[in-house]
Amino acid sequence: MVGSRVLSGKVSNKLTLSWRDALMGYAFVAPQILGFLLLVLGPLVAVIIFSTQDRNLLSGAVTNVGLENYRFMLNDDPFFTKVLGNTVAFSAGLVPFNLALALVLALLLTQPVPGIVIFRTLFFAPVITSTVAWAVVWRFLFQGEAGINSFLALIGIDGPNWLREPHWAMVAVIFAQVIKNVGLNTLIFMAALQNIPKDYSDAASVDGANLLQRVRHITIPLLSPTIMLVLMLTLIGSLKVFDLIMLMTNGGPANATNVLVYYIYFRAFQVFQTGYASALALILFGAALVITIAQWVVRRRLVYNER
Amino acid sequence: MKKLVILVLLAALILPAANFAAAQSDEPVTLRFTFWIALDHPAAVEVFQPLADAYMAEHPNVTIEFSFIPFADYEETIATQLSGDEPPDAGWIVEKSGPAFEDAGVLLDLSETLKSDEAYNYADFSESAMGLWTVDDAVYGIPFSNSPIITIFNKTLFDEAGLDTPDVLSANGEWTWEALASAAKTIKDETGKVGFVGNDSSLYLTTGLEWGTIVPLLRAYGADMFTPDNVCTLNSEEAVTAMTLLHNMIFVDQSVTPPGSETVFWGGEVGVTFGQLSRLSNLDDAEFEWGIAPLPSGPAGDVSVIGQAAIVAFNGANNKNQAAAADFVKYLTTQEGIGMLSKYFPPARLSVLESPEFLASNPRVSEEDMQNVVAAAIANGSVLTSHKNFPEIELIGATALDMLWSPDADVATTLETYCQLIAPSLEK
Repeated sequence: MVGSRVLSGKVSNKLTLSWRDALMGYAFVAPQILGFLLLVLGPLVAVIIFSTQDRNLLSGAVTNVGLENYRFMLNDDPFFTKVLGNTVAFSAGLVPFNLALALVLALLLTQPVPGIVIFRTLFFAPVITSTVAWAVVWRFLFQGEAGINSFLALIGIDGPNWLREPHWAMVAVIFAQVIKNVGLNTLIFMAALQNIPKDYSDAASVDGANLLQRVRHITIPLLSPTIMLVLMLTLIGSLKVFDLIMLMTNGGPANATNVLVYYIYFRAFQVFQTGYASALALILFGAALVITIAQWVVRRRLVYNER
Repeated sequence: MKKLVILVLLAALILPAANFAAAQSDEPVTLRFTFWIALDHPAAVEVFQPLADAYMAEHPNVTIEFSFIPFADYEETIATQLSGDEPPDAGWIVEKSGPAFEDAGVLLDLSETLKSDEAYNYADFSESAMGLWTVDDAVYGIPFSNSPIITIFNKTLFDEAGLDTPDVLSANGEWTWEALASAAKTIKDETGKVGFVGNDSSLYLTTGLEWGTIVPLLRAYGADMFTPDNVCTLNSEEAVTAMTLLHNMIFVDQSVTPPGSETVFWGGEVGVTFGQLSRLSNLDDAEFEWGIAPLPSGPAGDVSVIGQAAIVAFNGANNKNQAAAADFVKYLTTQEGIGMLSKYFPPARLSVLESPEFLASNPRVSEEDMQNVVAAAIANGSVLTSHKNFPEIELIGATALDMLWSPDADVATTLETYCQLIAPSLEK
């Protein structure tokens, strides 16, 4: 007994140095790892389990149903296909519009013009505005007989009843969301633009390249890592849109703006089917994962100077 | 091992004590009572708070806390809270959610508490009013508000447009939906104001209060959303005629606030709306003359539609104070409690309903109107349509009804789609 204690004491003394380093390292990452386990992995595992159950939020009743939720989703749910289509349409409308606008704004806002700071502030202001206030104001502006349509009427255009006509409602929420968030992407682009040495552009000018050619052949390629990053963030962000939809349209009219996250909320908290909502949430998780992996794979080909 | 033994011994000591403590009636209890009126709403200040204060004075160990949850988020908030650690103990439930909550088993059966006390006089509640809240002998809630939906009109605008007011028309049996449509159009043409907005300014399925307009219309034409045995009848000929009238008011006459726009009656910009008695407090500062009348009638005759809210005690998995909650529910709904509540909420207790005090109880409404408009509607009325899957029916059905609110919608086809969509939820 005594002997083994002495022995183990010796061993641990020997290991102390390397162990101390390792322990120190673990201690530093522990908060992050614990947080991840508790707040990300735990709920994720719970959602996976919930998705195989028929759970009712109101009654608390739980029955195991295996893959029934997924079968219902793919075969019998009258809204799933529509909701998936809406989610794709929202992202497909939002991402190019957001990126193009952010890039153009970044190029304009990095020009050395007096008073440019005012414009930079103006375009960034919506980012720090509360989404609730933003949505309420835009819902007001998009009324059938007031707001934007009053301005359109001045130039002889009879505007649609934006939020009550299915196609226009999608356009309206995309527009409100882009204007809300474009400032952040603009800021990232501006930071990246300022890192591009001016010499390249100057040299190209001397060789006779015009502005468009300089943007196309110098700025865009050197900016491509940033564009990829912003694309990824914006695309995944667009899959997660909820608050604006909830506040502007409630997913309507006729489900025209009912996107996946809103639909998850509808199933979980309005008709209390938490099991089915969990299955939907896993689909969303899968979609975001696939997109992320796909982007990492293609970035090598598309991004300049990427190995 | 020693530690484990000590732990087990400790647990053995503490657990029975804890059980004993819970059973003791003079242990401190905090009851959280939820409703969807703001804490500074006159009904909360003048009625609920004084009743709670009186109850707390009688039961010093009980603390009552009122908790405000907005109407639009009410059910989902309650459902979420019931599954958490601090569930509400008692509160209001609106008629359309009653069956869903009963079906989920989260409402406490109050029959024992209420029926065992003769002084409470349970039999005093009108049987038709109790329909939604009883299953066989079980009692899951007491409808403290049995409030008919009534016509509220802006007399100033009617005078300006040179029209007879709805109360006058009603006395002659001429206050019909056709008359409402025609008056709304004249008001719009003559004054430039809005002719009609729906119950609580809602018509287009965004707030959950739209049925207060649509159900009275359907019933005036002899139809409804669905029958008690779960057949959708919104596609019937009568329903199509009724909804076509409304559709024409919105898109042909353009006398109704259009979809996507927001107008409230209380500001004086609207000729006619529907609402319940408790909403009249919105008119305290009105700068126009107003009046009330029964709901418009239709081919199926006179119609009275009642919106109910009940006081319930919750019985979710995490509720602990059921007995105390049931006792407070009982206290609120005794003859005296209902008598106080009747200032804002028309009662389902016959002794209160038929008392001269009730007819004189509302400072905003004359005794004559209380008799002819409110009491008469309660006597003849039927409650708004409901179902145990109503939340689902409402939200899934909105998909079709949303399509109705566009100028070129085909009413019959849209209502047919509605019935197809909600059929699975109706039968579940």
